[in-house]
Amino acid sequence: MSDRIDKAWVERCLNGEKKVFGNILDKYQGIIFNLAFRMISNRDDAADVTQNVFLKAYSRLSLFDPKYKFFSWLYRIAVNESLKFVKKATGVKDYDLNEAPGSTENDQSFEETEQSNVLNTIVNSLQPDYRIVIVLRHYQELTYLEISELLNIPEKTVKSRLFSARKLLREKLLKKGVLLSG
Amino acid sequence: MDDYYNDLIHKDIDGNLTEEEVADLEKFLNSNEEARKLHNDLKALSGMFTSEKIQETPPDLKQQIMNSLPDNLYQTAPSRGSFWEQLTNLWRNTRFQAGMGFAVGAIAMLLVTASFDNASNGNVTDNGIVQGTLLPNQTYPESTPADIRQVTIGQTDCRLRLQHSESFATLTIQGSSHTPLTFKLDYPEQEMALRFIERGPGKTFTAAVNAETLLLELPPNTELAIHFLVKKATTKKSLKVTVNNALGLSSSPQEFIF
Repeated sequence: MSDRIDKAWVERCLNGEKKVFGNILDKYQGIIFNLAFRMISNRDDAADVTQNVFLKAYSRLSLFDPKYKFFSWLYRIAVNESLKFVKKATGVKDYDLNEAPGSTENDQSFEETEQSNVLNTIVNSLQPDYRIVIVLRHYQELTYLEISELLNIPEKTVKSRLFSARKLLREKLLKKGVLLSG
Repeated sequence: MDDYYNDLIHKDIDGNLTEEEVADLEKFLNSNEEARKLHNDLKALSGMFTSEKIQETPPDLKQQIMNSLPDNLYQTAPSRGSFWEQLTNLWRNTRFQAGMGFAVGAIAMLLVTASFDNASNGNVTDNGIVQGTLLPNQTYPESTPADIRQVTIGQTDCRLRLQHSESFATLTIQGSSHTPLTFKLDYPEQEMALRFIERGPGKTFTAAVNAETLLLELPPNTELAIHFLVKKATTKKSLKVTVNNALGLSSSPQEFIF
């Protein structure tokens, strides 16, 4: 039902009813913004990426194939735009916790930081391919299959990246004393 | 650690264990301290994610996006004033600047495919209908030879030319020298999507579009190119063009199927 409504809105946009796109925004801007925010950890940049996602979707509405779910199509654009932003902003390099924005080398002040900020900082220290699977699995709660379809990689690769990413996060959190192993 | 148990630990974090696997994992964790530590840590990590708050969307984001949307999904010959106005507004928006570079490249590529062929090989049948075929796009090499139709409405001539590139079809219309003509294009939206229309320098035309039809009126001495994206491979006839005299002087419109 929801997807049928989406497709009816798309059809009306294609027929020139620009304001109907507002319905699509109302429905999906939250989830797209949250995805971008989890990838980028900066509200302004996440808002920019969200805007790009919807502008791109609008300009490509005529390319949308109605045999697929509209949200899947939109979400794929959002994943690609978020990854593009992250890769452009950070470059492809060896990631290290100390290079992550907002991280601190001072253990004393680190302990005073909220757990949420710590987690965000550490997630953002992961390389983009690991970061996206963590965000999609743990924040967006997608299944392995859904992630594999979105990223266009085998499910086995999703699993292996997710396991590796979790282990990296564990090591970093142990190092910072946030997790007390055992 | 054995891959099997490593998998079980992660499956447990994802909440996907069967009863049998739960028992198997418990037994293993009781006998392996390292594995138990890993399991506990990953459980704690997973819990940290679930306690994260959902971010509120910036209140003005929707309006910003709505204000940035182009006025029309199809570019149908806006007046010169509004065109420059739109272009200026777009260019002021830095987010569009990167996109513009890409768009210029794409348009340049399409212009190459739309270059007009002066050879005349009209092949209108007695009843004015010529059969043509849209080939599946994956079979196109670089581009296919142009399919050219000569149209005569009363004493007025014009020419239609269809050419495919890899995934685009471009219909070029060379208008008559004397009489304005109307053109109705029918295309199944599942197979083709109107992308944009280019007009000759200094020329104007009027057009009305929806998902499956384009209606336009072309003044004399005007050429324009209509670009379609081929959405789906097809061997069926997909594009129907009906031409008539805009002044109502012709009693019989002519129909062409590409």
